[in-house]
This record gives sequence, C-alpha cells and structure tokens, in this order.
Amino acid sequence: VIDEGVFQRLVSEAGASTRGQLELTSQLLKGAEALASVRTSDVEVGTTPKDEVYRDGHVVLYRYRPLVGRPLSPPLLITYALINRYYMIDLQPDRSLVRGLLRLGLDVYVLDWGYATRADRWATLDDYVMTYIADCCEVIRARHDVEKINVLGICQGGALSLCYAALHPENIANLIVMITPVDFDADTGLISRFARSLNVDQLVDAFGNIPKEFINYGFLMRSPFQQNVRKYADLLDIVDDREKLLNFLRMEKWLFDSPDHPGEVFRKWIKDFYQENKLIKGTLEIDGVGVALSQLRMPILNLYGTQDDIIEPASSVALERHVGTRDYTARAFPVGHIGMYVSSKVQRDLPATIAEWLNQRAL
Amino acid sequence: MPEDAGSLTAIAEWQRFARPWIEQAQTWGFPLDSPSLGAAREFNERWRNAMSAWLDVTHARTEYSAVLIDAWRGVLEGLTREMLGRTREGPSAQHPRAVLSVSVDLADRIFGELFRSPRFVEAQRALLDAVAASRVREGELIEDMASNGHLATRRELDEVYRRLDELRREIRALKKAQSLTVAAAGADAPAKQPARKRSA
Repeated sequence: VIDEGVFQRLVSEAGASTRGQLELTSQLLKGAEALASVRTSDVEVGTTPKDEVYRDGHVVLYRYRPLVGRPLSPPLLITYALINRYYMIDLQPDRSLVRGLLRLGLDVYVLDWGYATRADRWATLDDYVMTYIADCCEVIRARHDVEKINVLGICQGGALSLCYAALHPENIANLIVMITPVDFDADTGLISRFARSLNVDQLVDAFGNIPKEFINYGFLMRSPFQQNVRKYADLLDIVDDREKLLNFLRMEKWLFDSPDHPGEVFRKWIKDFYQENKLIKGTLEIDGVGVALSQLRMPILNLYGTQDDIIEPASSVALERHVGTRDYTARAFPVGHIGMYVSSKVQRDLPATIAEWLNQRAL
Repeated sequence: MPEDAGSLTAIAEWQRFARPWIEQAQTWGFPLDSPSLGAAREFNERWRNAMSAWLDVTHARTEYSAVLIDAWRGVLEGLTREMLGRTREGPSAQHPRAVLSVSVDLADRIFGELFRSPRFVEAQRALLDAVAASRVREGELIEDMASNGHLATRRELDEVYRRLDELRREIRALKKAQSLTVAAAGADAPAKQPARKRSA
C-alpha cells in the first residue's frame, strides 16, 4: 500500500525526468545534425590578409596588410609560443588582436614557427632565438630601413623575446611581453608543477620531439572534466546558432592544433627555465652568452591576466624587479590565459593599450 | 572441386600447420626460445629488455590507475551525498544536465587536489619514466628489424638531421664572419655613396 501523496509525487517526478530525457535526446540529435552540417573548410581561422615576406624551412615571417596609408614606424614583430599555433591572435574577425592593432594604425608582422618535424629534432632553443627571431628582426629592419623594431612576445614567445632583446638591445625600440613567464619558481600552477616534475632528459632521448598529445595532456589536466565533458555538453545550447557553433569549433581547432615540440628546445625550456629558473637568476646562456635581463633598457610593457592559471601573474610581474629600464609599464586584465585572446572586453581594450603605449613612445 | 574451395582448404591447412609458431610469436615466445648463441644472444637480450620495460609500464600504469581510483571514489561519494541532498529540491535538480554540472564541478575539484598531491606527482613521474624507458627499448628492437630489412633506421635519420643542423650553424657562422669582413673592408675604403639612412 502506497500513500496517495507519495504516489502522486513519484508519478510527477518520473514524468519530469522522462521529459528531461526526451529533451536531452532531442538536443543531442539536433547537435549531431548541426555538427554534421559543418565542413572542416567552414572552420576558418587566421583570415586577416597577410603576405609571406621571409621563410627559413617551415618558419615563416608574415606581414599583415596595413589598414592605414602610413602605419606606425617602426613595425611590430609578434613572436608567439612554440606550443599551439600563432593564429590565436587572429582566431576570427571579431576576436582578433591583429585586426585591432591594424585598425589602430600599426604595422604588424608575425613569426609562424610552423609544425616541427623529425628534421627539427636537434634545433636548439638558441637557434630559435639567435637564428629565427634574429633573422626576422633583420629582415624587418632591412625592409623598413630602420635600426630598431618593436617586439611583442606572447607566452613562451615572450620569454624567447626577452632573451633576444637582452642579447641584442640595440635592435629593439620597444618591448612588449604578454602572459609571459619570467620567474618560474613563483608559478605554483599545475602546468608549472608538471614541468618541474619531468625527467626531461629521458623523455627527449626516448621521443625525440615531444608529441603534441603530451603537451595537450598537461593543459587538459587543469580542469579535465570541464574541458572534456561539460564543454561538449554545453555545446547543446548553441547548436541552433551556426555562428556560435563555428566560434566553438575554431577554438577547438586551435586547442588541438598543437605542433610537436622540438626535442632539444623542450629540454632546455623545461630544464633551464622551469626547473632551474635561470632566466631570473641570470645564469641562462644562449649561444654561450649570458642572458642578463638588466640589459633590457628599452621601454617595456608587460601585459598579463590576473586569472591566468597557465602562467600565473606572480611569474609575469617579477620582470619589473630585474629589467634595466625605468620606462616599465604593467597592465593587468581580469581574465585567464585564453581570455587574453578571446574575451570581448580584452579584445576592446588590449589593442588600444598596446597602440597607445607604442604611439606615446614613437613621438 | 571448385578453385575457391581448394584455396580455402589450402589456407586452412597452412593455418593449422603454422598455428604453433603463430601462437608462440603472439606471446613473444618464439625469439626468446631460440638458443642464446651468436647473433641470437644480443637479439634475445633486446627482446627481454623490451618485455621487461613493457612490464614496468604495466606496473606503473596500475599504480597510476590506483591513485586515480581513489579520486574517482571520492567523486562518487561526494556525488551520492550531493544528489541525496538535492532530492528535496524536486525533479529539476535531477535533470541530466544539472546532474552533469554538479558532477563536473565535484570531479574537477577532487582531481585538481589530487593532481597537486605528491602521491600523484610521483605516480605520474614513474609512469612517464617507464613509458620513456620502454620506448627506448622498443626503438632498439625496431632498429634491429629495420636494419635487417634494409630500411633506414631512426638513429640513422637522427644522425643525418643532426649533421644537417651542425652544417647549417657552420654556414651561418661563416656567412656572418664573411659579412663582418666585407663590412670592415667597406669601412676602410673611401665612401663613394652616402650611407643608408636609418631611423627608428
């Protein structure tokens, strides 16, 4: 014998639960249909027009086509990380740091590291700094007939830019670093802990180049269920909106479009930067020459995210204590690592911050 | 008898004949059962090393999984408690999306704590070390097989790439030295044309 009230409640709950299941099934079917309708070629990234101006193997220097008649001189070279692809700075027209900078009259170059192959197994971090970045700087200086250029280094590319600028300050007019690790000991995040725990010699000796899956694993560890489960469940909410769906798929493309990391570069990056924190200690050597951050006497703009859990703010802001310039500016944005590229508020403020800062120093 | 049927019979006979060797090979018994003499001695040793390294991976993976299982148990306990509490809130709290949301938050929190623990870091490091060691041993075996099959081995390719990298650096250094020499000679010579204007 069941109490009438309890019975009614059970029937009501069962009905609601069944309705919920039906709604979910219907959404899943709609989602599958929407995804099937999107072709790979529909997911366009990095669409801002640009021209190849220099190539060394699969490392390419592009110049974005300026949007104003007389763009700001000297030009700006953007050096991105070797992890993931540079087109994050131009993911889609309304989320594009590059477009923002071009609209504000800047002359923008970007260094595309390409996809490392087995042939890059022995390329060193020193090569990336003193060959690739150095050569691209030289190309831009020659093309524009200028002694110095502006550099914007992002994430790992920021650390590489710091090294180059410290070794060749005579070539850099203004240096901007964005979400860049500097004091690796100050970073207590999961990525940092993971990097510090690695037996990197054994990994590089065994794998040669470090597989992209390994790199992605490190990033997914930060919130595995959010990134592997909820994100896809939430996709059901936007399947009716093709634009939002394409935005989602662009981000997905970028997230999983990680090149393998050149083996010797990875060895030095993990050992010298993460494990021994040599950049901040002044013991780092590139091509046998010591990298002293005190040599950074050019104006510096340091941009970081206060909620960044890949490069924690404490690691980035440490730069101020070690540089040799008095013209140092730090700007914090209330976002995480990825938010620096895609947050609509940051997309509005970040290009303006950079352009204004550069314009003030161009006078 | 039709031709096809004859072929099938022949295949069946061959399979019956080859089965003992196939089964041995499938369990890696075949190479290890050969006498440890001459060339087979080193080959067998490489097989044993590879097998041993593979067993180390299995062991490390089990340890790693055991660490993760503790976290999964925590998630299930927490989720059960949460869902019992939410039954009072009515059916909307039982919607699959709502349950998923609670589960994800809980799982990320518990796994996040786990990933920061020394126990996990140690298990992860042991697994990665074992995988890397196994990969090296596996590579040694494949090197043997590739060279016996007249194929270029990874080691040979790596040597070529390494040499190319060294040559590239040498060429670059030579070019740099040459341009410095040319520049020095130009500086000594009387100026014929105005220097190129350079400005920041």
